[in-house]
Parts: sequence; C-alpha cells; structure tokens
Amino acid sequence: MKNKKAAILLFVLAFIAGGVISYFIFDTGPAKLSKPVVGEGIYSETFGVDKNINEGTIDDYLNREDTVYRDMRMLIDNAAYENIGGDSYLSGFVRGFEAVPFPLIVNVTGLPPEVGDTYQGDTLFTLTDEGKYIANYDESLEFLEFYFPRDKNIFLMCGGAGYAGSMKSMLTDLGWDEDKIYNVGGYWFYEGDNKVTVKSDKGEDVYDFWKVTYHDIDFASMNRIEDEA
Amino acid sequence: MKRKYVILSVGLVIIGLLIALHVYLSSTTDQRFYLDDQYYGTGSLIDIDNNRLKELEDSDASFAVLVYQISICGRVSAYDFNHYVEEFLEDKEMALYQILFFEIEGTEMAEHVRVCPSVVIYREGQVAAFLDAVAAEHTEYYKSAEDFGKWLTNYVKLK
Repeated sequence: MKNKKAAILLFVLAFIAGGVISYFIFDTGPAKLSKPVVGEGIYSETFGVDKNINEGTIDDYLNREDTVYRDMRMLIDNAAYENIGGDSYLSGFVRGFEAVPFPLIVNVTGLPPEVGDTYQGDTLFTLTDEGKYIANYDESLEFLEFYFPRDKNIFLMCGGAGYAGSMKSMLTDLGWDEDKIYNVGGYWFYEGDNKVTVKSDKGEDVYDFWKVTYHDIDFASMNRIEDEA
Repeated sequence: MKRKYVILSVGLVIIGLLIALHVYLSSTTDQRFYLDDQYYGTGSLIDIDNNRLKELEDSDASFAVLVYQISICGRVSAYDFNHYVEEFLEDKEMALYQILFFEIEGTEMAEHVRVCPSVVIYREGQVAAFLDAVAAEHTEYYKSAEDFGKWLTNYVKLK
C-alpha cells in the first residue's frame, strides 16, 4: 500500500516536472507578427492603417517585449483642430503607448486654413518641399533611433491615424525597415479594454496629463547644426 | 385522408409562389425613398449633438447624418470628403445633419460606424444604410461630390 502511494506521488511529481520543463523548452517568446498590410477602405488607405493590427485589434498585441508603442500626439496641439471637428488635446490613450510628439520631430504641413498653424518651434528635422528630411541637430537621428529602435517592431498611433501615418513615412524614408513599422490607427476610434482617459471629469478643460508618459524634446541641450553659408 | 393531403399540398404551393413573387417584386421595384420634406430645398449641413441624434433616432424621421472627425497628416482626403458632401448638397439643395464622431456614443449609429468619415441614412428612425470608411467597395464614393451622390442616390430619392 505504501509503495502504491509512493508510486502515485512520484508519477504526479514527474508529470508536473515534465510540464514545467516542456514550457521552457518550447516557449519561443511572442508569436511573430505578420508583415504590415494596409487595410481596406478610404480610412485605412488614406493613412496607411494596418489591416491586421489596428485600433480594433490592438488589445491582442500589447505588452510585447519585441515591440515599442508610440503615440505621436502633443499633449496640447497648437492647431485649432476643434474648428474642423478634431481634438487638439491628448484626451486619452491606449495603455502602454508612450507619447513622442510628431510636430516636434518634423514640421507639419498641409493644414487647412481653419485650424491655423500647429507648433512652429524647433524641430529635430525639416521636411523640405522636395520631400527630403534634413536633420537640424547633431542628435536628431540618435533621438529617433532611441525612441524608434530599428531592431524592434514599432507600433504608431495618434488621434485619427494621421500623425502615425506620417511618422511611418518619415522613418521609412530615413532607412528604417518598413516591415517593422505599423500604423495601428487612431485612438479616437479605439473601443478596447486598455483605454486611459486623460480628460478629467473634475471640470471643463481639466486634463490629467500626469497619466501620460510624454517624451518632450529638450532642444536647448542639443547641438544645432548651423546652416551652410 | 387523400383529399386533405391534396388540399395541403396545393396550399403550400400557393404560399411558395406568393413568397417567390414577393421576392421578385422586391428586387425589381425601386426601394429608394424620400427623406422628410424639410431636408429638401436648402443646401446645408446642420450641426447636431448626441442628445439631438437620440431624439431623431427615437422618432420616425427619415434623414441622413454626416459623421466626421478630421485627422490631418498632409494627406487630407478625410477633410476633402466633408467638402464633397457640402458641394453635393448645395448642388442638389438638400440638407443633412452633421455630428462629431465623439458625439455618437450610446446611439444606434455607434453600433454601425467604427471610424469616420461616414454618412448614415435613417428611414423612419432606423438605420437604412451607411457609408463605411473601412469597406473596400465604398472607397470610390469618397472621391468626389459626384461619387458621393452616386452612393446616396442608391438609397435616397432627389426632388
């Protein structure tokens, strides 16, 4: 009887040990992502929003160690987007995304007259009329490589997918692998379980910006590249 | 007993024929409808909010709503679409409502519209059709006022 009990106990322990060992042998990390593919419809085609990884499915792709998550909005955009139905405030975001403001990375062009100008201050790069990105600081490229590492998947988001699409274009033009960059769309259309609301219910125009991991750019600490004469 | 089976069979055949006739007539007759009278004779976009939309949905009204939220990146076709709708409305002297995407939460419209811009047509208070910004087959209807008109007039009659 004693021997039988010992045998059963040994069997159970061996079963558990086998399971644990198998986990470590066969767990190869997060599933590989499919290559970016632009979705269908005017929205996806206009901004290059991904067919498979977008605001409707992003909850299934959060917390990956092989991926960085970047929200391209400013906390308060200078452009009066409310005049055309937009939102100048970073009023919420998807948990896990960190804000790296696109208008501070490169000059924003093509705004409708109703919104006026967006941020007009220093930028890391200037996009010329010929479509070239010119670095304004010695550290410009280093900044991009730090926040958009070339060896990771890069998920880009903003309010309506616009800045995210422009950021993907810029990184691709500067030599990043476009197959590792995903425009996952606009927070405005996100209905998932990882919403972080920034607009406070404490009163009109009250925003809890302290919730946002916001990477401002300290241009004063950088070395500006002087224009050649 | 045999007579009962004959009567039953004849009855089923007649019912089947009536159903087939109904389906045929439905597919060939014009299913389009008029919006309510007040939406003709003036070319305009009328701003509404969440409360007003809910009132309209609770009524038996026939109307249409442009849902928008402008995103800017230099490629501004979402913004252009609003202009195309305005152009069409001015030309055909029709009025639609317009509402911000943020304002549709909790409405029947929100169950259909995932992203914007979109136009939603209501018939007697029920969603009859909507222009879908993530549907490949709808892409062409966003390209100009004329193209938008082609979509709208699939469902709505002009005066």
